[in-house]
Amino acid sequence: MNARLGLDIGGTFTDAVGVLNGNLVWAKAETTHHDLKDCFMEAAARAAGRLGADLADVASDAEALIYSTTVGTNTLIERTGPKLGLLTTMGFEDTLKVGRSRSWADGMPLEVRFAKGRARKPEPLIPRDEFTVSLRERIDSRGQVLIPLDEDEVRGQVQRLVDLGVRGFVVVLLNSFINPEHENRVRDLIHEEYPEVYLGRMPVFLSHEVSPQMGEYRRSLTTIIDAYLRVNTEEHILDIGNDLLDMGYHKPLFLAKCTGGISSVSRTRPVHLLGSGPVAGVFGARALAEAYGLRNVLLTDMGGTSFDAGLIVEARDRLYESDPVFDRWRVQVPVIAHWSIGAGGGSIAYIEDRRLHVGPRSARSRPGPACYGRGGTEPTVTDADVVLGYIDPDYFLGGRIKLDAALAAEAVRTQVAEPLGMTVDEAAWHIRHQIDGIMGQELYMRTALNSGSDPREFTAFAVGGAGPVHAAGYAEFADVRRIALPPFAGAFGAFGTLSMDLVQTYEKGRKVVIRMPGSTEFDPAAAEVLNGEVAELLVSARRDIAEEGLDPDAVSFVLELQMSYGMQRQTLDIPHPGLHVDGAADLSTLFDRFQNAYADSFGEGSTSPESGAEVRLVRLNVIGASEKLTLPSFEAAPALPPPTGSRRVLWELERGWEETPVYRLDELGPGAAMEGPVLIEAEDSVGAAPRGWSFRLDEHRMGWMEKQT
Amino acid sequence: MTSLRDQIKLHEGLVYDRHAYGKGPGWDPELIVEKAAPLSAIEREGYDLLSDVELEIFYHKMLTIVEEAREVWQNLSISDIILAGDMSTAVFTPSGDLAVASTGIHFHALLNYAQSKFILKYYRDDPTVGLRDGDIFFFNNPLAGSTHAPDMFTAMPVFHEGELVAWAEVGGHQGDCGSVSPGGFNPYATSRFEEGFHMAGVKIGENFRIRKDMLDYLCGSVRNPFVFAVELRSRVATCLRMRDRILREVERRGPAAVSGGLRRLIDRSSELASDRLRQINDGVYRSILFNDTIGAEKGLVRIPVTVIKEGGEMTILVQGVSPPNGKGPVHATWHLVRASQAVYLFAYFFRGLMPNVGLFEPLTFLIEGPSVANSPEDVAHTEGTIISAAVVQSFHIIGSKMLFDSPFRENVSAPFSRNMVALVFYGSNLFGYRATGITSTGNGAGQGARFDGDGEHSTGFYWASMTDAGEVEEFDARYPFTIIARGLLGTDYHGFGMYRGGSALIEVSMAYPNPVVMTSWGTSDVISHNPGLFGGYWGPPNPRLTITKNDALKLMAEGALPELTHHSLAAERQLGGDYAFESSSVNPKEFEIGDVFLCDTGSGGGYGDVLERDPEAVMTDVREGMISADVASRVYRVVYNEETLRVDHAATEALRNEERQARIARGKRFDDFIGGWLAQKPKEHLLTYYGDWPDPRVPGYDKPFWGEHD
Repeated sequence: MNARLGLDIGGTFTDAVGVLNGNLVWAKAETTHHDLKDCFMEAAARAAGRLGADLADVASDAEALIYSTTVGTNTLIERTGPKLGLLTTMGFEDTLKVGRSRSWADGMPLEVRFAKGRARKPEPLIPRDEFTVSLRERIDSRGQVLIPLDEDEVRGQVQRLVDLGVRGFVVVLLNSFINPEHENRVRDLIHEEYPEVYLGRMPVFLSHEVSPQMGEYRRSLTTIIDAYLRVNTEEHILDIGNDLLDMGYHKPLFLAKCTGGISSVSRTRPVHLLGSGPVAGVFGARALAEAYGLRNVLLTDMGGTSFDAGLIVEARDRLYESDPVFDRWRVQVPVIAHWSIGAGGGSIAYIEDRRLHVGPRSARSRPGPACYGRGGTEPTVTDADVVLGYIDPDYFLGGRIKLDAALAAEAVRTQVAEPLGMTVDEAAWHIRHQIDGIMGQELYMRTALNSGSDPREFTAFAVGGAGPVHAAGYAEFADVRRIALPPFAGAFGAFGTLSMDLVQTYEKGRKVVIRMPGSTEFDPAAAEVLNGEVAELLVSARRDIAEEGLDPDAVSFVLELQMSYGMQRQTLDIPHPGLHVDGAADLSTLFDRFQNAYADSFGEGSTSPESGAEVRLVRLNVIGASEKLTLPSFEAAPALPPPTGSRRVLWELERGWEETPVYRLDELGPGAAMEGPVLIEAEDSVGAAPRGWSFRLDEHRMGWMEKQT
Repeated sequence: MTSLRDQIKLHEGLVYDRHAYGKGPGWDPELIVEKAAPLSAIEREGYDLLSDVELEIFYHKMLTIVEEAREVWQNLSISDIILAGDMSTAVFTPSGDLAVASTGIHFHALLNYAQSKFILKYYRDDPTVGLRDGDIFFFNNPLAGSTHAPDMFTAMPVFHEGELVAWAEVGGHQGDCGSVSPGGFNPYATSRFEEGFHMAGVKIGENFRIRKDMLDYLCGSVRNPFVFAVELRSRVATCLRMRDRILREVERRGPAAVSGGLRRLIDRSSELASDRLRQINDGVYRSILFNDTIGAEKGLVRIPVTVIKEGGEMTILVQGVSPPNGKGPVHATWHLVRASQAVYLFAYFFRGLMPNVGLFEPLTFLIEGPSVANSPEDVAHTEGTIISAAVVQSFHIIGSKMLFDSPFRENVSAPFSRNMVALVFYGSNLFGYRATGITSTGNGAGQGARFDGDGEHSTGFYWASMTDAGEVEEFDARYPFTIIARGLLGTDYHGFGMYRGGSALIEVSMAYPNPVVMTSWGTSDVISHNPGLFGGYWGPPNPRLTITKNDALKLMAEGALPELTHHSLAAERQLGGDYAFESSSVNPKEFEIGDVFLCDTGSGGGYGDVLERDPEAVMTDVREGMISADVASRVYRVVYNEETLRVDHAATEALRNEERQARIARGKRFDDFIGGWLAQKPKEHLLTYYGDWPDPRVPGYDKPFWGEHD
């Protein structure tokens, strides 16, 4: 049967996409937070059903099962990880608590940064006072030992942590990424005290192994989160794996990673599972972009509580986020660039200081928008959409949830319209307009920061329940003129998992000066240092390839060097063809590429060749290409069917209410085209094309909204 | 009925509502003291084009522009201070008033208007200068509106089809300004001519590029030319980015809507600020702070603050200030004192309102001059922020008292720590780079306790909204020294109270692997500037500590280095060597390999009575090493088992009641207390630069400072 099945767990729904013989289907199940295995199996079974088979039949013969899980995110937010002990260099035990003095704002909305007076830092995952112990040792930034390790002290501190009941050790010693001698010795000593053969042996996580990079705060957090997620993640994945095994699935269960690829369970770090859903979506968008020949794409996903976005720039394989934050924690992980703001259908509108605010606070699904009738009294974006006629109260989610338009209007009236002295219609319009403005303008800024250019040349893919109904609105503010509405927008993350290659990423932080400030000469010795680092990464990579049972000839190696000007913190990832840096000539070529990339990002006048240049990190990606999805094609429909109805929609305040034709997406065939204003209703969303925009459906049933003027 | 404001009597012969110096080449103080300019033609044309709600979206757009610019600048810069976030990016109206500021140092944004206004008035129509699209201007002259010479500002006019629609500007501290002293802080400076180069509104570039001759001149004036050059280019690239974004918004909305919208943002802030003020009790509020130095020399200086709140307006009166001394760099300017208040106003008092110059519109500043707070022309200025911050700290105390009985009680707190010792270094790092700068430990100050909880430890830089204290491994590789301990290393090193102040990030560094030239910059060596609130204890003063000729390297090699904490070094002297507790204002000195220095930026004051602190919270403080057993027992009056840290609640309550009774017994009638207080006087040698005692401006004054002057 050779099916491929992709699964993506979200906060509300779990999505599955199945592919078999060119047939592409998708299905949803409600996410079961008490046990994620239940929703995994349910969604998979529904997708299998749409392929016309039982899950067991599909599984026993499946080519691949790929899973994007939120088990790690849940563990982090709910703080259900194991009790861990931290061993760190004496004098630096407060590193997590200090949090670079900025942890109070990390992962928080922009407005929080202005409110230093109300700053609150998150509680560290490993408490400082009891579970953090110090070791008298120090290695300097050249890797030389300044203070030798005191082995008796190590034994004593380990015993102290054991007495406190820790279930694992995290070891973060300063400059271990340059010289790991002390960290390795600590692990040996722990293993000597607690040999493998006995019960109660506890895992040891060394920071230089998890994240061999400069920056003790981020390295600590990366290592701690990796350790913290391990138990829950492992149990959950193995549980699912065993059930699949019982069904006859003998291939590896592949996991989607935020680093932009998939890998088998045995080659996946827990910390790489965080944010894998949105990243899978980026790869889904990339696959579609490639199919359509689009080089610059924005993926926008507007759900109930958040607006997530990712981007593809100049058809580049991967664009990384600089200094990513998971939840409240700043980490060192090569995360594919994506971001999230608190804007969605559930975003609450309120008045403060006579000013209208929309979000980031959300009514979530409970109590939800006022129109849900679940007790919510605060007006939300969805309420505004109902008041304005964009959403049919009787056909929300295909009619599965009946909405109360009167409750929506009442909430808008009391909380926004009356305080601002407006009509309900005006207030609802402003709520919608404001959230579109916030989303579009944030999109503009993030795109500009990540790509160096503004988004005018980008196509936006709009997915998520609230995406299509707001896409034209936020696109106006983001300067985007073309929007694609994928046919499986409701399960885009799951689709994305099937678009990801097998990828393993190996990194080593190493500051190598390739050209000194003021000099025009490149140091050939620097090339040799880099080659040494590449050689070490290749050893690890080849070991993993062998252990995965992959054909070494079927994988490709991609070398990237993270470069900066001398002493600059900003880095750019510069690809290097091949796996060898050939002396000064190659360094010079790398420098030229870096300068060009820099000028592209920040402008011609911003380059500073006299500042010299450094390589800060060496990254090796090993890629096993997966089978690419092809979109099914459909025959063009002979003619545009009549609208299924019409309703009054307040598109523009100046024009007032307008009777607007409404089409059902499933009644439209390829080739259908119309001019806005028009609504196109699907089972899980509504596409809204305003005046000046057109809508058409292509042969793959991809919807396109384009700005005409 | 006489207004409260009318009851204030200003001294004759002194100035209050303007600078104590006059117009000069490149500066015009009359321009600096002006409030937001009258509407220009384009601002008037576009003023009503955006509805109130559309204005919110416009504000958000402008905020994304300045925040994008902030990130761009930080990405491009190689200056330690900019990397740490001690900078600002902002958009100004065509008339030069601050409309939108990024997170960063707000007072930088509030000072940048000075050059725009000067250029508009004096250079725009001057055929030798002019104002054209693509021009780049630069200034750092304190008399022209800067803080001090190391703070440098860059401005770019934004033109649309020949019409000026806005200004894009950035401001930030530079690692060097060509002063006698590396880093620019020269405690021995007696005039501004010893504090490096001073430029006032100079056109350094045209057609969007920096002129080569100007770049060479500037780089040739400083100790870190390569850092300076990169830094200046990054400023220009940042302004260009803002310009591009503003022009795109002009394309979308039209030039008048953008210019008028920027101006409307200012007026909107002003209206909302007045609204808030009207919800706060009227009254006259007072607070006072003293400084312990005039630069290199010890000397008491007085900085009292009186705030008169009436209706929707507020007057900040700085009167009874010590006179200028001409002996050191601790002199602020009128504009610096005013702009500095943004530290408190934006993050606390007016928190939640759009931070721009509109929040200053309902405020009147009366700053006595000539004085250390409103200095004359030729004195040295580099450490004037000590004075302006002292005004902020008093204003913070006053503001908290005002807000306690208001709908804005959430903003009530003891002030953020202003005590500071920041190390300024100069030397070669491990990779051979010449590095000059200030350590990011300046970004680790403790927060004052709040009305509803403890202050956070190490929360940022005093002057900025959000900053970054960085990571030691990066500093090891960047700096010409090595950090050997860094954390919350102080026990009993914060203000106690019902809620305690946040503790400072303390850094212990060593000259290693090379010798290094170091100096420092700071305040509060003896007298703290971190008051507590409503009975909370003050955050402690923090002199600089250096330990030379010590045995640290030997102990390290032997694996016998003791735990390095504030207590183990300052009190127990666990390293052998020569200990020097010094003023933070000293001349640069070369430190030998192995020499150790300790610095921090102070801890916040406490809130409320120590006897009301939850005894369990006291035990947490003991467990975390934040306080000693002695303080738990003698200050907080908690009875507990020292091994298990279990509290005896009944005995604690009895002990606390006993202390309450003892307090009553120690109490005096108010008049008796004041009489005794006025009879006290500091030693004469500390009053050399003070002025008359007790009121520097009123010889023979014999009343408390809130009393009548006649």
